Amino acid sequence: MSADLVILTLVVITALGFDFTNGFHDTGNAMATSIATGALKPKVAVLVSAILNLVGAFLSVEVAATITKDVLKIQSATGALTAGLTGADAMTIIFAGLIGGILWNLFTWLLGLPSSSSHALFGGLIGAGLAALGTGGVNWNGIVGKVLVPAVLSPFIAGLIAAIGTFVVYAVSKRVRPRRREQGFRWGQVGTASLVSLAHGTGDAQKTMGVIALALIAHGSLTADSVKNDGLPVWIILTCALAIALGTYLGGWRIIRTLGKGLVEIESPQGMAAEASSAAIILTSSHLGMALSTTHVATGSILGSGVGKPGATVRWGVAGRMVLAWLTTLPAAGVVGAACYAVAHLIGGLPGALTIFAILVALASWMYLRSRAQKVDHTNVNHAWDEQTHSPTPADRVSEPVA
Amino acid sequence: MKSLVVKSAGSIDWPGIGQSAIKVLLVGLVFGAGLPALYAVGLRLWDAGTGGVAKDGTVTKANPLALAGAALAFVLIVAAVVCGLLLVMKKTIAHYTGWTVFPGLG
Repeated sequence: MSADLVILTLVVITALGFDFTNGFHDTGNAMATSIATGALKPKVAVLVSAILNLVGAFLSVEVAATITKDVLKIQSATGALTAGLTGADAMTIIFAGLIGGILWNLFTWLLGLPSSSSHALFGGLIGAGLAALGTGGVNWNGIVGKVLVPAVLSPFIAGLIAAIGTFVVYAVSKRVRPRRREQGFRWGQVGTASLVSLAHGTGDAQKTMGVIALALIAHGSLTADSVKNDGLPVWIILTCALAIALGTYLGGWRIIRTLGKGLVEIESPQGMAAEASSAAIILTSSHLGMALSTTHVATGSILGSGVGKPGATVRWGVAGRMVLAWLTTLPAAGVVGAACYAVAHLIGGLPGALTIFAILVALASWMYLRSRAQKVDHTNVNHAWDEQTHSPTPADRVSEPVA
Repeated sequence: MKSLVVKSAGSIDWPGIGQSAIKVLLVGLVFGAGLPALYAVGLRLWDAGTGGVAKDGTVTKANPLALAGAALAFVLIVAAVVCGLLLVMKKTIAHYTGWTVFPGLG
């Protein structure tokens, strides 16, 4: 096996790893409200969401082969590499960018903060691109127009729609008998949450597919033309679909908890209104010329469902922490991406790639072990929110200090 | 920092972004808030239609007209969702079956 092929294999594995973190980071976007209200048992919710993500990944053949063009200038309009960029450099940029994305996803998961996986990936790629090519390699207008502005707008749009939906739903259903109302809206919640899961699989798995395709194009084992004419190789679609579904099934319980219990105490009519708003926006926004991040939309919707229900309290402090995480996602993932590119580039070749892969594995393992110390899982995901600390870990699970 | 500006190709399409945002908001309001509202109407009609002891203790008879209204609301919702899914899948469907689901939309 040549050195190039080993590097390509590492990049593909890392991309699938990113897809996996994308899955569990976003389970809560679809299922947090259904889990919080008891419409679905936690384990059932993540299973349903995983299956729908799997199905969703096969639903769209629109290939995101030009995934990087909004943030970097390393691809031409067809998806091929721009002139003057070697395949090896492009591969290192993608590799370092993916590592930045994964590490930021894991870090925010550890803190129980729902941040955008797309932003983490873009941040990593931008950082790696800056380190490799300087400011000229970065598509600044694309970053502002396609990433930053939509990110600022999406929580407001989603929040407004969910708030209006919640208000109307409560007004209309006021006189319905409580048991029937609860039952009816729980069904509504399951339906809308399923749509969000499906939409997530369709949109987010595409991104990893695009990254893997780009790595193969950089390596020379795939051409942009063949992707355009014949679509992606089936193994890419299959592995990406499985990775995101497995991640979803694992369930990012810390994030589910923050979204379902931390922001607003959710009742089933609110849950349905929030997920309906998310589903409608996620499914249609890319067709209307503005692709919005699932996470920003889902968080905005849940906040909106708190604003729209008369008498509900919204924990703005928790929302504020999320916004802070959103603001730091691009630069933080970017710093990691840039650092990884620099390390890989200084060492060079296969040893460089192996070094940054080892860094990824070490830091990911460390964060996983940290998460085990204060575990959040399907058994304690719905425990009462700690109003003092606002920690995603329920108070009763924090390990006793050793005397 | 000058290179930031000089090397940027093209410019940001602010009017286009604004238009897209308004479209997302309007479509979102119709489907994201309108459908839940319709669902709530359906639930209310269904509750009224089945009769029995209401929340305030009054006993009402079953009302077939209200039940029919509830059924209509639920059917409309399912139809809207199916249309939404077909919209998302339109290229896939055209790719595998050659069926153009929404001829006007390309």
